[in-house]
Amino acid sequence: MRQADRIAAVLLLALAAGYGAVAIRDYAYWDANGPGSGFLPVWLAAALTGLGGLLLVSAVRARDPGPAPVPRGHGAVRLGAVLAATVALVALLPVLGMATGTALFLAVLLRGLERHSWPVTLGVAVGTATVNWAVFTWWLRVPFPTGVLGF
Amino acid sequence: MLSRRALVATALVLTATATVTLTGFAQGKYPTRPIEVVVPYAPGGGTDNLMRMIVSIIDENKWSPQPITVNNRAGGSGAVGYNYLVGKKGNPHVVAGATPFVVSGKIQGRINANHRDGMTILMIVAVDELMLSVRSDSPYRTLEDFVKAAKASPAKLTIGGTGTNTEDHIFTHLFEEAAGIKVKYVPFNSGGEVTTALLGGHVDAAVENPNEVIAQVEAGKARNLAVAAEKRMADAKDVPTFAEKGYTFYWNQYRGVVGPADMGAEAVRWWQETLKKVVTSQRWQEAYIKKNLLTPTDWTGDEANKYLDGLNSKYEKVLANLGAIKK
Amino acid sequence: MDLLHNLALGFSIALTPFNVLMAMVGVTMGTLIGALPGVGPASGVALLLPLTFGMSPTSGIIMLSALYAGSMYGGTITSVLINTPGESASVVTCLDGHQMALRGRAGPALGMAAIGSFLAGSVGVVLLMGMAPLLARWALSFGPPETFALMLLGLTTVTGLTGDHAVKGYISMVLGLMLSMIGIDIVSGDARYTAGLPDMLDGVDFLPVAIGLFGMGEVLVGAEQATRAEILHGRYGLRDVLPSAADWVRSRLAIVRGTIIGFLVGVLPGAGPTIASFLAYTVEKKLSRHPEEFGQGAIEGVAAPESANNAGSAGALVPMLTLGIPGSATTAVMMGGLMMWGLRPGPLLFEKNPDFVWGLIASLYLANVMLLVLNVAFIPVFVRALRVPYGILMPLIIVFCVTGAYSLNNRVWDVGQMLVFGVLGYAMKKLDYSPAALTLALVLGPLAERALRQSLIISDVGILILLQRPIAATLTALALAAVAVPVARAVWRVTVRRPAAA
Repeated sequence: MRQADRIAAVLLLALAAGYGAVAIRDYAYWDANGPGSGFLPVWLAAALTGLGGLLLVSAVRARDPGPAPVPRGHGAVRLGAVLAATVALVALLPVLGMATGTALFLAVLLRGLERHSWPVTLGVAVGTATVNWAVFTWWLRVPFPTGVLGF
Repeated sequence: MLSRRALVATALVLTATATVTLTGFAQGKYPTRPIEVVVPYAPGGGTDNLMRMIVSIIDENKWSPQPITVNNRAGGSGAVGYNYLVGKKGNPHVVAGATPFVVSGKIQGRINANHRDGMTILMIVAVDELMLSVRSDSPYRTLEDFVKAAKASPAKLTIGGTGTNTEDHIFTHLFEEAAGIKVKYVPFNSGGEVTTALLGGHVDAAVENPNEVIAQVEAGKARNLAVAAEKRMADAKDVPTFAEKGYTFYWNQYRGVVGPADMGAEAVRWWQETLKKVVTSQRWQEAYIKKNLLTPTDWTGDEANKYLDGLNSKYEKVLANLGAIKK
Repeated sequence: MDLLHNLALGFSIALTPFNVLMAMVGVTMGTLIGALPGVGPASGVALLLPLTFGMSPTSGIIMLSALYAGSMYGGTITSVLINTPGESASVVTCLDGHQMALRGRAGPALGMAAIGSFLAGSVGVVLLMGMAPLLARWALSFGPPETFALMLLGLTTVTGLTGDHAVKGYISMVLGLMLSMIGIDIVSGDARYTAGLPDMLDGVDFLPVAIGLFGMGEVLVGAEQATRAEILHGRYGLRDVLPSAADWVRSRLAIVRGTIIGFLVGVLPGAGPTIASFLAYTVEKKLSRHPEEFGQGAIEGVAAPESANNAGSAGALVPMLTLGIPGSATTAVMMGGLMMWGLRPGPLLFEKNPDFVWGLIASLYLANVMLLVLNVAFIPVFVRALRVPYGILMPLIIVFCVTGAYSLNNRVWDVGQMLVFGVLGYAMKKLDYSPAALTLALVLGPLAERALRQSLIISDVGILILLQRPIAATLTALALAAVAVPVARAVWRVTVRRPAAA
């Protein structure tokens, strides 16, 4: 936790600096009627700087190193796989379409990660994608991305 | 691109549905595929009501051989929906509800194109007037009272409206110029909030569309001082215009239907004819125009384009005055 | 008596077979729409609107308002079961509802939510019926200064959501406020922190953030564990899902307070059921004798916000029916419907269309009864979803989150946003930050900022306008007290008690 808090504190301080700088550069701090569009952003940046500083100080002082900040071993592999599959799904939505995309996504995770049998994998993947597609496009009239296959 | 084309080819062989939709292109008259009507705003707004009314009239008369669906693609005060439409260049089966943002969006750098270089205006179906309204127990009985009070104490009276650099804001600015006064403009998030603030007495006056305030006037809770139109409104003859009181400015919001660029002459003609049938229907006149106290129009082609050109130069001037155009 | 006469008229209209059928269709559709993330009550009403054109306006509004009430019930289900809020007023229910589910108490959580919703919804209708004109006048007295003072009070209650690590809790809140600045600032017209992207002009939408932080974040935490601790399986007979006597004792005041807060906040223009549910939760935690149990599966943490959002949805009808002004996105769509039916919503609606108004009010009683029966009866079915092995459930929840985020505005952008906040939610959970504080700050931030700046434009005396007006002054005083009392107590402990002890 100590390591993670230090990293987080530094990131937060950097964010605060950038956020505040943009506010000062682009938005009016004060205008004719009182606080302008830059007023609150500047103070929020200041508050985050203070809080980030507190976090940094307490993390530097902390004796107990605490648990590791980054997941290791098997857990990291699983997390990475789920995350990668989801990112791929979102990125490919316009190409694959919602129905094809979700079916492939489910198939990859169920078979590749969870090691379910093929019948279970295909049943769940195709079944879910179909029900999902039917409910949203037919009943709720949501225009899902269709992709190159047309659904 | 090559692999994508290969995929399309595979799809053609594999799936019957894809084959059916794709062959639809070649045959028959417009519309050959289902039509998507985009509302670039959230459900419940003026454009949403307009497009749902138009689609419902087309549906009940079965004027379209293909289904029409209304999709709300809200975001960026219309920018997301209009940019989506601009991106549909050459696709005649997508149209959108049009607002003044079609021209003012490009000026403010929020839409990539306007009616001249990326969209096709199909018809301007109505004009929504803008009025200055006060509470019924307000000391300002007439427009003259209001102007006199504003002159006596500059930058003291408040006028509420929706948003900043918007139609309501520009209205207030034009009124200030025409009457030689200075007021405080208070921006709110929606028309409902403006009316609430007016009725609660938190602002001295408010910029209102007729349909937002007419029920309050009927109930004796609010009073309209003047409308920024050239003639008095047909259904509210007692409201004077600003011009006849000597403060000459005109400002309103048009409502219409717009398509992407390069829709093809056939699709444009179909929409013009169908919309003409819509705006001459009895249901439109009664349930839409009269209920909302709109001024009906049926401008197409050059007439509509010229109107938008005029609007464009007005916006360029006023938005520059207000400091809303970023270099 | 007039009221009874009117109510009798209302029931004579609401109880016709066709209208009962419409109310049933409405509550069923509403429950489903509420349970599906993304598609919320406003879209649901817009979707069903064309169906109502063939009916009388009264039947139409009965169906639509039954749908509105149903969506408030439905949103709870997914919040409790998979930590994914179905609609924005149910976000806060995730905090304790899902914790209860993890402890095998999904049944009582849903049961208490249904009963609390029923009681609050019914009381809400009574208030709507008996006090609508009075409440409308009260709502009108809320101008920008009053709204700001209320939001300020709301923000001070965020401190109740900060969790174990105070500094990290405040960081979460500040991050939420910083996010809430993104988009067009309606007071100056500036587009803040948008990087020139049109998709960011309307700011960071609250629901994709909540689906990401809670639903997706939870899934990622679960995904990391190869052998996840199975959810405790309780017994899910009809009797087991009903809250126990102890649950009742703990929740009864929470329901009362949730109802009052929910209704009053729902009446206010621009606030609505979502803010009502958050305020009810934080107030409940502040008043609780065991605040440490909140966030660990305290049943009051479900009862209070669920009562509040139902009372709030009844309250939101007040400005629509008495003033003709929409109080929320959903009522705005309904008002569009009223116009299309040929009615003119406004102050004269009660006088001119009594059958419409009283039919609606009576049907809301009916809808609440139907929803209670429907929800309690189906709890055992819903809860079985938890028996699906986590290895299958986990990818399904992701699909659920993706579809939900997309269908909110029909754009892939929101899905990306949901995913980014999913990763952030994972990190916040791992490192003891407070996603709830971030979310509440994101909701309240823009309202508070806007109201403050509107007040200062209106005011001729600067910030002192807050003290000139009685309601604003009272709320501001409460907000200051909420900050000052804990500080004073701490100071007192340090300066007075310490020396005495030493």
